[in-house]
Amino acid sequence: MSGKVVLENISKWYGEGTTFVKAVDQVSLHVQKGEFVAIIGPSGSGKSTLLSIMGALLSPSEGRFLLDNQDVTKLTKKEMAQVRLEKIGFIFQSSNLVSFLSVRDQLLLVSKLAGKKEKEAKQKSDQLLEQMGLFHRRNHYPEQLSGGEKQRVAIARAWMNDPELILADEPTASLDSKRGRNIVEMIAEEVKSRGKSAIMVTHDERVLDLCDRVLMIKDGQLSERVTAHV
Amino acid sequence: MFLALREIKYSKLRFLLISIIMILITWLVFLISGLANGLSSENASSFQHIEATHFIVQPNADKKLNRSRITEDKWVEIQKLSKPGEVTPFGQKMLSIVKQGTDSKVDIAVFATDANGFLAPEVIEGKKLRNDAKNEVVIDQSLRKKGIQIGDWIEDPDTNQKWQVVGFTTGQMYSHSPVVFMNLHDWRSIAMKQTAETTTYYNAISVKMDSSNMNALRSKVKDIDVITKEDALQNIPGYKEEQSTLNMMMVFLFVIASFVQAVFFYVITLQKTSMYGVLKAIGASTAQLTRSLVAQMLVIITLVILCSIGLSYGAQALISSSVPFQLEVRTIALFSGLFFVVSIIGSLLSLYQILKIDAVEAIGRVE
Repeated sequence: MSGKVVLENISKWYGEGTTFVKAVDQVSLHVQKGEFVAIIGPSGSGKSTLLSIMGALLSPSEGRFLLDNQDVTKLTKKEMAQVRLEKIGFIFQSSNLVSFLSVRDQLLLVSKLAGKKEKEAKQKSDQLLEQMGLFHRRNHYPEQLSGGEKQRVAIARAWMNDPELILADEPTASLDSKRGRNIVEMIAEEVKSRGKSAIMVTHDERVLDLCDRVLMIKDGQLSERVTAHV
Repeated sequence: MFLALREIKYSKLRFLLISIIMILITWLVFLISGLANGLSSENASSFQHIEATHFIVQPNADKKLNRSRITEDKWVEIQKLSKPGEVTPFGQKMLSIVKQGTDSKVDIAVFATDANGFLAPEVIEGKKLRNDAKNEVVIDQSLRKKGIQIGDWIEDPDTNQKWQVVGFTTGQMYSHSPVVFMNLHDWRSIAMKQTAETTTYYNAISVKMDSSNMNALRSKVKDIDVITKEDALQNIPGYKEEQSTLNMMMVFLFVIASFVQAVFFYVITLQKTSMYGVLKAIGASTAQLTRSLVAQMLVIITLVILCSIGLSYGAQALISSSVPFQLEVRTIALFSGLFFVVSIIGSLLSLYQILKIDAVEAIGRVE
């Protein structure tokens, strides 16, 4: 067993008797360092549930989830929050920034929550904003930013605590194709240069060529997709 | 604090508006409490600082000193049963007087007592009350405003009785009237003249002793009722009614203020549900979010209270001295403390919302 992210026979079901629903069915997945994996599938296929489990937001009904060799399935709610804070970076569908924080404070908040030193956090945030080409926007509020800029802030925020795993939930959904592609390129680049893992759930077929592997989820079951690389 | 302060800074107008509402309400609470204090001291300052612990009154007097009659015989009986200095007779009567040579009437409260007893007033100017002097009175200094000075004679136009002012005392008001102290000798002439009685009477016997001695004394004397100093204060005509009206207003304002604040924070918390979901998803603990909300409330309520205290003292400086208005540090501290407690309780409603939010909701949602 190797890799940063390991899922072993993960299942998640809801309800009982006639309301019984199996959202995720016996999913196993290994993601290596520096690997960028895309998961596609129709709505209701169990994508979001799987992402929630990998994001330590939801405990599976069955199976094991190892993140950086730590078994996340055995943790309490509080410990799961700690794992999310330190090891996972989230990029949400619509950037989901805090409306009353400036771009720089969005990043500082993350290190503040983790109780890190302010001086280092400031250096780190400035460096990340520089990389994302947002340094000149650091004192702006989300409402003053374009959709693409917001999503770039969200990416910078996700990297702030130097996580092992980046989870992206349809990061291109609110962007046009050019900007969407740009965002995914940025995620891919960062994953490679930092040697971390990333998993992206998406509908957007146009960005799949930027991923190392594309998986398909249907009725809660995960399968390798035969990629039609151009 | 990180989130709390930045949100206040960002949503200035929103927090300014709620703060203004809160400031106006707390200010009103402080003003009414100042008025209640002022009225209470104008009504009864003579009783607030009185050294007596109890009053012996006539049964059936409904605890009201002005209705009670204690005969000379009863006083002699009580005096025999107690140590010197523990009891002293007390006579009280409302009169309208004029300064001799003028004809504008002034309402006063006559307090008659043993000039050597514990009810005798402290004189701040002029001479003390004496038992062997005739027709000498010590008056509350508020009568100066009516042009009465030491050496002046005051007169009851109905009975033509006259007294000379020999001294001023302070903080002696009863039933919104300044108190005129006289000795028991002069009292007798008022009491007997006006009731056509052959023997004198007192309204009450004031007592300075602990409860067990008081009970012992009570069991030995027939046909008396004993009330505490607090009872006597509450039963000054109009006192209870005045204070309870103002207190009711303050209670309502407290309830209104706490609801306004609780609802405000509840609504802005509901608005931020998705934000809290995201923050929980990226790893913020419920404790951290709770601290942030409570910190925000405390910042607002602290500013509100400081502003209202400032405004209240400003108002006190501007209000004319004829209005009975008196701010007490103790009352202000008490109400400020209450506002803190009430706002913490009000925040529970919002805290429950934060607790309920599940981080999973952040996934797969389009805003």
